[in-house]
Amino acid sequence: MSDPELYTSSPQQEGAALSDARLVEEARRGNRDAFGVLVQRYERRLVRVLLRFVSDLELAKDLAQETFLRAYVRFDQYDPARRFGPWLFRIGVNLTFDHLRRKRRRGKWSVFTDYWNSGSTDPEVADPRVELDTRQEVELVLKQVPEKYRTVLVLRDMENFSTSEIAAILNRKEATIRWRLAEARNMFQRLWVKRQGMAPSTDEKVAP
Amino acid sequence: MNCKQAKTQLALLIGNDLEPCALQEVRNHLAECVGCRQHLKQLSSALEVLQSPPRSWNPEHESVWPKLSARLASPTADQKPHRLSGWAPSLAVAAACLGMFWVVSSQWSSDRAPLSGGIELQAQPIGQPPSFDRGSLPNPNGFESRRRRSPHEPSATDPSSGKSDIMRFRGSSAIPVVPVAEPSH
Repeated sequence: MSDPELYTSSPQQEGAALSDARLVEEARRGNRDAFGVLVQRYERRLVRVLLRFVSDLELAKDLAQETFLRAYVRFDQYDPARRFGPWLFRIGVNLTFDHLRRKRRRGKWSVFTDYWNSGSTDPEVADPRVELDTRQEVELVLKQVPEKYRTVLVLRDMENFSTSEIAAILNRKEATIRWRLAEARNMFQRLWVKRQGMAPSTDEKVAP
Repeated sequence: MNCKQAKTQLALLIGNDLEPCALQEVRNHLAECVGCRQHLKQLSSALEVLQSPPRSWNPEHESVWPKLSARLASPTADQKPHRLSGWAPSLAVAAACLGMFWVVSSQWSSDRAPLSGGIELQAQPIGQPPSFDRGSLPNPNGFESRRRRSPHEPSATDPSSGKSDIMRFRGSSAIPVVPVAEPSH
């Protein structure tokens, strides 16, 4: 179920021929060029994943930069027997959650920043949902899903990590991840139906 | 398998995350449960929405590597932050407060020195109350006596009236005395 290619960028990218393990080994010895190849290999996906949680491109890029820096500083804690990708993403996800927790603590200030960052507040618009595209609708519904379920849902269904990779990123057993995934999908389905006001249809679909 | 268990399994089935050994049991349940078939359809629709493409970002033009390499090139980049570095501002403020406290307390004690220094207790045999020279007592009106006074400044106690400044102030300004005219006869 695990797909190692998910961690690598296009073959045309510089250094794609070198394995992660070799690049990590070189970077641990202080070779910054090797680390640069790793950064360029993972940054696209890392920023995209972080963007699922913070909804602000510049912030996601800052967090990604901080993630790489922290990884570089903590290379001595990295176990070469394990894959580099999940280790890197664990740092990134933890950093992002720390940031979100700090932001929640400063709740009264984030109210104002969210106001300015939010979309149209024109009172002429009767129903703001009309202005939202599907992606924004999904983000709004996802915010209602508790964090530990939402994280699994985002990593599995939006970023296509396998359950074993998610288990490595979140440092949980794979069985726990599967259970959370099932709960998260059911939660999202209920909330999505509620938001869309979808009436249950009567036609049936045969199971695959 | 009941419907509650089936819903958990169906949520895994739609993303191909279901264990192969559980697949047949789920199919058997679906064959006889209309509600779970309906639930499966709604789960599939929700998953399809969830997998909509993310917003675009082109790392070829906005790579984080240039900024990151600049940070790594700085001499402190590859050093771990010191364990106490987060406490540095608090420690600095505490040190400044202690310094201010020391300065203020030392100045205050030097101001008090003439007051306490004027009293010299005499060594007395045990059982007798201590006695001291009355002349060595500081002026009870200590603050006034220690203040450098200009020769033209009136004293707090007016010898002519015998009232203090405060008493005179109260008598003259705070409660003005209005002369009462005697009734004319």
